[in-house]
Amino acid sequence: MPYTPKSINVPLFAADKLCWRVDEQVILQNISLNIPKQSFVGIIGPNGSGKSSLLNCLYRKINATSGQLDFNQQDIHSYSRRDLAKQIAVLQQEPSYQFELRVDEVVAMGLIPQSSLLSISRVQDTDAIKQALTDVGLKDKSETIFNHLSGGEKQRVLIARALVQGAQVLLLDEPTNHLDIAHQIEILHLIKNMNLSVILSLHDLNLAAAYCDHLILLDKGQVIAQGSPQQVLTTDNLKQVFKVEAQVSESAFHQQHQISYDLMPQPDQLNSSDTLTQATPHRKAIHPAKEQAHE
Amino acid sequence: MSSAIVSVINPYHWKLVAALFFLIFSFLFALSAGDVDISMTQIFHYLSHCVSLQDGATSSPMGCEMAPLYQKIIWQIRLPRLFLALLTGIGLSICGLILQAITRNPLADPYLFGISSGASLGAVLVMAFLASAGLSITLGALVGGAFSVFLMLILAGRSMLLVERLVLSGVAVSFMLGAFTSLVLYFSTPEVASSLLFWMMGSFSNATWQALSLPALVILIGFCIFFIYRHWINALQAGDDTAISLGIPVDTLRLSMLLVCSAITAVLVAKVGGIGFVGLMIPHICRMLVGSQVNKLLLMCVLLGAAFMLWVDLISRSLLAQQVLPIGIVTSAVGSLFFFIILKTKRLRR
Repeated sequence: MPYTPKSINVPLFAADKLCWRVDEQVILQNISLNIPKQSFVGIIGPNGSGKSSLLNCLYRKINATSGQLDFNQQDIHSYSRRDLAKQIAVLQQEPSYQFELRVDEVVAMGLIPQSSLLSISRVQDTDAIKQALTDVGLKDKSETIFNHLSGGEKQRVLIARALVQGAQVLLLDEPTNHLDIAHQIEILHLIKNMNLSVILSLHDLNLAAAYCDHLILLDKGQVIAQGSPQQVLTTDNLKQVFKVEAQVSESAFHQQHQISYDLMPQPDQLNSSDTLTQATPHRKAIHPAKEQAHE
Repeated sequence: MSSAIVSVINPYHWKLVAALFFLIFSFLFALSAGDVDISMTQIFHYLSHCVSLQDGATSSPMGCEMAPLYQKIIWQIRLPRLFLALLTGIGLSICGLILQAITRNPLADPYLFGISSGASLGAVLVMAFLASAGLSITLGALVGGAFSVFLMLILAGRSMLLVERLVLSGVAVSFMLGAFTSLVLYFSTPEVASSLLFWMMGSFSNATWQALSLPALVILIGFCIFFIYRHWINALQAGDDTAISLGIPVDTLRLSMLLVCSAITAVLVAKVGGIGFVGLMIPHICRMLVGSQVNKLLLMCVLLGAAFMLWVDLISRSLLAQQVLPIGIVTSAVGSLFFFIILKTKRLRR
């Protein structure tokens, strides 16, 4: 059953049995979900579980093979691309451009969905770009070449572009990839405070637990669990999906859950991979008791 | 930001004005220089007093004190030639710019994509076999250019929406059609072969006012289309995903821009033959001046592409006495040298 939060009845996105296949290979399988408005939703799951594909469906970069997807209670296909772009902004994984675009030029692209083809740029456009760059703390970098920025700064520029775009929904595909922990927190904090509906894919489960108020756990293209972090991040779910032994406890710093992992590979993974087998004696030396328990 | 409403004139506008003055200066200089030396004063006198919309040579308007022979040289030889050079420079530069942007490939230009080899093949076939049938070279080049694009899309097949595949199949088509052109050359009689060869190396020698109208029209329409879609094309530079998320119909846009570029290239190849390197080089030089935003680059490419081609034409007709070098040789030689120097100095500055 799709998860419906009690507080908000109108879903932002509602998917019903969404499937996406490429050449007979099933990438997304019977995805049914409700994403509430004004929430911070995390999509989690192992590599190749379909996180990016699901995000791509949500802004119609790809069209699902079957199933129904509603955005604001209307079939997503009833929107024109441009209407969709006015409401949904997307941040892809950290890019690098072939040509040397300046920061303000990248942010200016956010104006495209709002402006007609024949319009020329106006003073308020320049102001909007300046304001957005100020909001993300990059006021002084507006004339820097985008490619020369650090990973965290690039993400902030793209967030500024989304702000200029004026969308109500922000989709992010692993925005914290390749960032150190301080910058990961900085980016998530920035997004959290923007008062938008946010849907993002994340690898770090602790960050997901701390920042998201709704989680969707994917594995092999299927929804394994969805709901609050407490409901989703259980020891059983983590073991089933990520094949790790994990312990869920309360964080020392905030009210949310925190996960600690057993950092040695699991025995069932070792059996399937010859190269990893060599690690087994080492593992036994550290966790003799646990190893026996599994056997 | 390229706007009249933005009250502050920014450095980009100054650069545009500078490029415009450079173009005007180049034009006047190229008009005065040549085998028959006509001084700048005479050029100004001609432009202010002698130009009428009719054939200026037959009936001099009031106040014109220039010798009819000079008027004839300017009106019938130099002006059409300069305008053809101008148009060629503009057309190839903006095509190069647009192709580089939509493929995100800094090496893209009409040549890499096989458009000009297709147009060349069409023109060469007409010249070699169908000259008697009264078919125009322009038509042959247009058909050839369209055929090359068609072939490229067929070759790329379903993956034509992937930029890399599109570029690769463009290169393949370019070589394939180039081989056919060589084959035609190989089997032609020596006289036809030498005229074909000379044509393929590019020339502005046959410029007439009548011949200017078609390229001018196609380039004007093409420029307008590019100008309307400049922000979309610009966003393509940031990747297909970004462009899609901004509401841009990426596949349609890329395909239509490709077709517009091939129309411009085909018309130009039909008129002036093969002129390489301009479409590759001018956009890069403009990028060094005004950055990578397509909306800024477009006007800059028009101005600098035109000016560059005027100088190339000037060099080609003044390097050897009583002889005109093929344009293609000069563009490639001067262009690569110039480009090399610029790359070198750019690296030093960093």
